[in-house]
Amino acid sequence: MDMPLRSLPDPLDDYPWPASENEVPKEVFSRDDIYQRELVRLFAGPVWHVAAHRAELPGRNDFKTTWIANTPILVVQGADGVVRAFHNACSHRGVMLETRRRGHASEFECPYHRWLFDDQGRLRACPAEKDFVPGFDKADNGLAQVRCEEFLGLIFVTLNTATPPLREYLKGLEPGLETVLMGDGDCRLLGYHKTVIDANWKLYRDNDGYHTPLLHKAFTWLNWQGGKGSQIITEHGHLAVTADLKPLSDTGALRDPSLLEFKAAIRAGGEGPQAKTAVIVVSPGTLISKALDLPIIRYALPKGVDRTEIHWTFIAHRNDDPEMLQHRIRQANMMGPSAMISLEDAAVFNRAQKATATQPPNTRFVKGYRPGMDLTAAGQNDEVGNLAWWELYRRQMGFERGAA
Amino acid sequence: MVAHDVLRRIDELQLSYIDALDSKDLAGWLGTFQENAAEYYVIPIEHIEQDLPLSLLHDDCYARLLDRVSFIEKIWVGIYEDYQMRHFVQRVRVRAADAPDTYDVKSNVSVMYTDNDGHAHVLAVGTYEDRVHVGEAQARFVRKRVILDNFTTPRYIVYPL
Repeated sequence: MDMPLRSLPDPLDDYPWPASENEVPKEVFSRDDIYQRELVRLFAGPVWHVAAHRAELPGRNDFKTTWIANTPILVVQGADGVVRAFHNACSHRGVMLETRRRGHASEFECPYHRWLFDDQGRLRACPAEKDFVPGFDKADNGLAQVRCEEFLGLIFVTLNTATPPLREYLKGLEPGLETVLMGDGDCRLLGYHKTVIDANWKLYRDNDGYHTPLLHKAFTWLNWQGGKGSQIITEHGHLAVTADLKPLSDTGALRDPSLLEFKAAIRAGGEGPQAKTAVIVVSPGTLISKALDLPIIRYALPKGVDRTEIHWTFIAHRNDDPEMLQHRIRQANMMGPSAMISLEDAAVFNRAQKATATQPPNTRFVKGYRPGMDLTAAGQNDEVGNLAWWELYRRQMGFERGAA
Repeated sequence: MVAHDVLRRIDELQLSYIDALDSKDLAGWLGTFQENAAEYYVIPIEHIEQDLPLSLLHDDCYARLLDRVSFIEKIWVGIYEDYQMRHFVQRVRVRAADAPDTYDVKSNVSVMYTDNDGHAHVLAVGTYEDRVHVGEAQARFVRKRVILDNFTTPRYIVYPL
């Protein structure tokens, strides 16, 4: 009698998750069996993933290819202006259909047997169809489509039918997203900084407000003090740290202080989304920030349990005048994987990854944490902001919390 | 035909440049640029292919070259994982530019790096597209553009390439 493999007992079903809700086992960053479970329960689970922004496929018939963990995805703006997403594989023998990262195409042809798909994923032609298996119908053999919804130009996809509607998933995060996407999300693409960290994707997404002034010495060196701000944590584990930021005074530390000019805030008289600064974590794995005049979407693409590709995606507003556009391009020296601020993040993630098999066995979030607290309430410079997401992660992965 | 003496001075400049970087001599690196009028860019090749305006490193004035040295020497001290670079450069083309005593020089470049654990990897491969002023006494970079074929870098870049 055949027994489906999936019904065999999985040792991870009895995985001992720590009793304290501010502790996370370090080995979740390095165990391959846990990563394999994430692929099924999280990446293919009832979760939305940021796949693109319209700025990356701004015109009709523009496309972008990306990945949801190990699943290649093709995102296409159809000739009708609707953005759709598909598994990036020919419906015949599974050959990856489009290998360019971005481009313009009204049709996609698989090179293997020349099956041809249109901009809505429909199979249009397949050579020698008269010899095919009886009953073959092109209408049943389009590309596998994935659910796709948009918010402020951000294109979200989910591989699961049980995922709640996007607006429900993002509830509470809207003001933060408006800040980082400059109000209406009508953006144009400036370019990418793509790099690799030798660390698990969850180390990258675990941003906290505690490390900010401590790791990033530039903030002190430049006398960059965060203004009044807040940290919002939503029920779906998203995080929005927002602050008013006054234009910085020139401390003489830089020969070219225009790197730190807050042009939009000055122009707006300190009012509105352009005058705020924010860091958003869109769970599970996307960071979106706007520091000064520099909005950035950071896609964290897992390439295995201990390797993550980070695509820093720099955008501008489509209504920017030439001066503002040039300013944003120049300001990209300030924040990024090889910029004045943020280079040091990667160093920390790589070092954390190297030391997952150490005592104590759990990593701990302590600043701002009180036992029994509401995990969706945290101060601007606390590190408990990630705990709500870790609780969702634990449940999604089917790990039982130990007895206290 | 570019004079042999000009080629020699261009090569000496390029070798001084890579020797300074491989020695982490940032003052020496700065010294290969024309003082107060020089630019330095690192550009992922996909930005050229897709007509995107962003650079990875974007120093469009001499003050920014000075600030780059400040980031490395004053801000990042003790927080990055250090690495040893070795640059390999091969001049492939030299043409006279529009300005007097100025040449556009294209070279192939590869940069290997060795990490803390003693493993060597490719950090960067691509081309230098340089504008060089060859004066009576010395040659200096007016502009250096590093075009990165490997637009996804294997680690974060601390030092100029």
